[in-house]
Amino acid sequence: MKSKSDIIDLYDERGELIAEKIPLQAISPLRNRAIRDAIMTFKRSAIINLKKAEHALRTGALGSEMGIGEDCQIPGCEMDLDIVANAGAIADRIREWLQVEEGDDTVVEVIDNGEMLFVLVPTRRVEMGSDLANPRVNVGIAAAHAIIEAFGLTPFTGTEVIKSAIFGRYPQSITTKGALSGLIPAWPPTVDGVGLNFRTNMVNDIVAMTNKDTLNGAALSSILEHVAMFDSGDAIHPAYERYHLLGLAYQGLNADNLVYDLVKENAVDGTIGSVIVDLINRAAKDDVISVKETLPSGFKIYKTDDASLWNAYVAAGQLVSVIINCGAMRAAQGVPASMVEFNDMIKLATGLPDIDYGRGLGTSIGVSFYSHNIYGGAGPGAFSPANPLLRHCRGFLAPCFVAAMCLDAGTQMFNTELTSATFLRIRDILPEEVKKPIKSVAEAALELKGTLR
Amino acid sequence: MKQFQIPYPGDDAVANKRKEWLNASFSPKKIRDMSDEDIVRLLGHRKPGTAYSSVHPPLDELKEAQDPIKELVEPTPGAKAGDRIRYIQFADSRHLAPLPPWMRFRMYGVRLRGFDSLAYSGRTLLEQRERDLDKTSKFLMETEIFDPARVALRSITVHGFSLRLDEDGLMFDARRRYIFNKETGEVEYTKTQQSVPLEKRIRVGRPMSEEDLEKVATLYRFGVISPRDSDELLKVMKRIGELRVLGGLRPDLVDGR
Amino acid sequence: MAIDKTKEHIKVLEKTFKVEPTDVIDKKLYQHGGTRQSKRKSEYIEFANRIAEERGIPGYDPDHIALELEVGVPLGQRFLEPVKISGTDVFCEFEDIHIMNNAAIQQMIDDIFRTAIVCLDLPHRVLIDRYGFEVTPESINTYLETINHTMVGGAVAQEHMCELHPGLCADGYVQVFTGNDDVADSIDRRFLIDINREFTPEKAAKLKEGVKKSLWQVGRIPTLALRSMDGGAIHRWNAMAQTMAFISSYHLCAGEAAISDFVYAAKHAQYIWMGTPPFVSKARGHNSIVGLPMGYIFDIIQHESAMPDDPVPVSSEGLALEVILFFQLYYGQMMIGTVGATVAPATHYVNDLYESRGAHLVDWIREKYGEIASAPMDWDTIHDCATEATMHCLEEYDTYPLLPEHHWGLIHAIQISIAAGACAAWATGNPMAGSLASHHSMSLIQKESILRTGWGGQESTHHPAMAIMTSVLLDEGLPVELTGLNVPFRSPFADSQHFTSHNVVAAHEARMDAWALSPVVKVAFADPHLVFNFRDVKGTVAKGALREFEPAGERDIIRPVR
Repeated sequence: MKSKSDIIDLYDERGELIAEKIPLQAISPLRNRAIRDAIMTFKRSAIINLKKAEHALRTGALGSEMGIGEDCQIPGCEMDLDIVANAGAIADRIREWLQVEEGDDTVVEVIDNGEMLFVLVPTRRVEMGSDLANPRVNVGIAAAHAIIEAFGLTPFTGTEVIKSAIFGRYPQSITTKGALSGLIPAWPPTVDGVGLNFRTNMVNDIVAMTNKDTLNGAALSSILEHVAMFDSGDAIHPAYERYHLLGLAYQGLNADNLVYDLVKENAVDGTIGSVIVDLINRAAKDDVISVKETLPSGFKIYKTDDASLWNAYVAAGQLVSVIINCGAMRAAQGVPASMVEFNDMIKLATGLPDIDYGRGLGTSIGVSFYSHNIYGGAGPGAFSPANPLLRHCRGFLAPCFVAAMCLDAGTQMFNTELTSATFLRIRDILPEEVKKPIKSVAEAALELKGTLR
Repeated sequence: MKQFQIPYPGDDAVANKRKEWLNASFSPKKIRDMSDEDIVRLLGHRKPGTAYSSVHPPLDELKEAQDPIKELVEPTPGAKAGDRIRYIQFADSRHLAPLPPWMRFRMYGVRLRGFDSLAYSGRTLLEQRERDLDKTSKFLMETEIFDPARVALRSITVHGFSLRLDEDGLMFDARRRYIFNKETGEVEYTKTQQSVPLEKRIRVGRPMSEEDLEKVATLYRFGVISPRDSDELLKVMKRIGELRVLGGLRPDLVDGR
Repeated sequence: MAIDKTKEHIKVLEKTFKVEPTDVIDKKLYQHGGTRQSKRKSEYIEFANRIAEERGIPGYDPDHIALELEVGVPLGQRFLEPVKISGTDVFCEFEDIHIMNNAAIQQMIDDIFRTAIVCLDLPHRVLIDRYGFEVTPESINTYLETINHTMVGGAVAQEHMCELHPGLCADGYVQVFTGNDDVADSIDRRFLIDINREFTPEKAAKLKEGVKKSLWQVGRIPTLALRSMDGGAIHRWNAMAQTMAFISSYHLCAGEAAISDFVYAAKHAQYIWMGTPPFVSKARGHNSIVGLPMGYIFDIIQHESAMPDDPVPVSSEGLALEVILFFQLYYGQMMIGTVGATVAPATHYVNDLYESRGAHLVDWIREKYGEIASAPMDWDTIHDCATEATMHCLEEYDTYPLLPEHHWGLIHAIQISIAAGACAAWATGNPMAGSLASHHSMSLIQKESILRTGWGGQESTHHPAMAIMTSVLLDEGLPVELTGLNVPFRSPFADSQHFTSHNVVAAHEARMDAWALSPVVKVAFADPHLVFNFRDVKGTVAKGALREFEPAGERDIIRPVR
């Protein structure tokens, strides 16, 4: 049996070795610089869609609560303000008010000729704040003040309308569907519980941020998922910490080239079934599992001395199943079915647990039903891992959904362009650890090589 | 397709039949010929002879960002062409239909590339790109998978798998999509899977005998092969259940077991 | 399995279908008479035709839709079997137990969620400590007379208030109980839930110890108030009635600072919610089924126990209550709506099937383990119980083709899992054993035996449950008595809940417990004045099916006379 030495090799999305003999702890969200930077980018971010605000004010179309489109239009609330044309002045004010010290890490970028602002609040504000919405709230209110000042508005000329253009119907509703958003949509009143904030992005959001790059999309999703596990207490206890780090490594970061190898082996003529068999063989060859007992029929019951590593292999195999099946179809809708097929058969083929001890199989069966039936809603791209249907599998499903949506050639109605266009527009200015996390995390892991056990 | 066998516990006739369906090389017995046109008529998605419609341009005309994985994975012919995704759905009677939903579902996972499926209590959905689906449908309807009496093509009003059979031994269908032709001894479809009337009846062959159905059965059944006797399977299930509970508390509790 | 036509549930099937239960051929299939074979559907068609004529908008019209427009399924191609409500002689159609068609079921739900339970110890402390008053039996009885006036909209402190028509509030009243026999003896009998009278001496002793010496008040807010407003209104309605009664009966100043103590005590400090507010995505408020913990199910039902001989009768009552609440009400109507999901849950309390299977399993438990609730809580027991129950049920389905016809779709699967769970819960007296057995049966044993479970999402809860239920992670774990629909992995699915809830009932009955979660709730629902009879859940639902149940909250008094 393989000893729990926890040394991994990291390969990129082309199957090239980029970081050799890395200690597992080097990819920990508590240690890896790239992951910590990515998370800080998410936490510090806010986006103001000035064009949307301008339109809302010009037409009085304020406070709609529809997911897509609008129904509200308030006669008498129309305000004809050239907000986009004044984006620079608005951005300057916001920057000045947000920054704590001259030259700190505050970022206010004007995008698309003033149609949008991308903001990173200074780290000092995140340290001071109590929740993930804090930076965004500050940016939103700063934007409201900036617009009011830029156009010389008074309480008698519609300042309250500006509030709505930024924050939508909040606080009459508990959501904010105005011009304000962020890289993470988590908004405390709408999150069902604790530790879910990093799971609130729609699958399509991640697809947009990584520009439909299958393995990097899966990697970013995996990072957010396992960071969420550290955030929610799921990764406390050495066994669980290792469990999630191995999951991140093998499913998210192509450790030991496992995902890439299996994809390559099955890319042309493989099926989910062949992925299962290949994975079992690879796990046996790598000494992750061994035969515990051969039954009279010849059936082999396997055992493992490292169940967390087996789970990580299963997570990788599950992702490969999705890539092979949805990739061959170039359509995302089969993602829950692929995960069900894989887990349903692998447990019976080995006598070992399926992904996340049944949590993954049940969850994917649930999503399969709800993404096909009258009781549910939407295709895979519109789900978020915090959804009551997805949240039970802790870290191992969302990357598969992202991969499937990256591979979709245009079959989905609720696609990235429809639900997550904002992220497509700001993608270019996102840091590499968000856009191409596999390479960034590996480089940051190399920095720690030799400093960790 | 790659050749492989997914292991499965047990050595009785049912377990061995299951293993056949988990073997990519297994060729089920072909028991009827159906024309491509009749398959298309039964599916009801387009008229025979008409072109496939597309949901997006062909892949080689799509402008996509560079992605090594997309370069690696071979798309199906339907995906390459940008075909719309279409479905076929079968209801499988509990009275010895050859493949109950989960066996049918698993068989798809073994044999098909590029599909979507969902197993219900009595029916199993299959969705593929349209030209891929046409090919699969022919396989599904011409082989021993399809017994005309105990298996039925249905997109809506699928209820019937658990009901008693009609006087001709056919599974109940509230939409009466098929009838038994007493003169020919064959089952004939008068409606598409959506229950839209067909211009002409489509013959799908004779029902299997009860003995033959028992031979191809993949479910354990009291009176045939009892599930109480599936010792290996029960042993493996007992083990998986326990490991799920233990690992659910903490993964290392499964180490060494 | 030898054919045994003495089994109660098989006999009922034979009687209702009027054929041999072993027949695999239905000779009259497609010739059963369509919708007109059903008395209810025929009645609905006639009624709907009149409505359509009066209002000029067509509505329910199954034959026209299916046969003339050729849209949808022609109903009644198969035999539409009547069913017998278990434990009664009442036969009805499934339509009669749809929540919308059954006034008794509606009242059951109303009676649970219009209940406001408050401990009076704190208000009494306010009177004694802050005011320096004496609280005596006389003053308590005066207070109780007063609150029974204010609870139904009687004014006591102010002149210019609109009062309520008592006829609309006939089911509104207040009672109290205590574990202190001396105090109980001093309470006006009209206002007392007498623990000694409502329970056996053994259970009364345990319950009195459980509720302690405190004085508990149970307010029944009028059904019409719950129906016109929402569950959140219940505690405010109670607080207003209670506070006004304290002010008036103890001659306090209506507006002095100390009054806020009464209000806080009534609303928050010692108030028991029947349903706590759920996560925001559930889109429900207080006192909704989503917030009801499962342990309350055992506490609400009041059926007479047959233990130590037989855990089935009480378990059966619990099963009826929980499938109505969790499956018919929540999933069927609150989540789905319209036709909802009635037949699947209703099969748990019709045709004496549960009782019949229960008898077999109880015999098997006695033979294998000796006494009820004596088997060890370990995986061997869980697996063995799940296997025996699953196999017993599967054999019945294979032997009697009428049974799977009656249990179409997912029903066979949930029935098997219920039996598996009950078996392990009875054997061990441990609800977790039962729950794991239910999920083990569904996710592995029955699935692999026959390669089918139920509807598309059927297994969604069952696979994760194995890992989740004994976990300590934030979204997971909890004693099953405390879990409910708000637990994330359960909420979206039809059959996510009632297995576990049933195992709570079955295990605590097997243990001969006086309550499962709250002795206070147990006693509160022993109140014989409740409109719905929680001593006889199935019998009361049967009265509703026969349209013989008189519900509360009707508006006849204030509508035009017809």
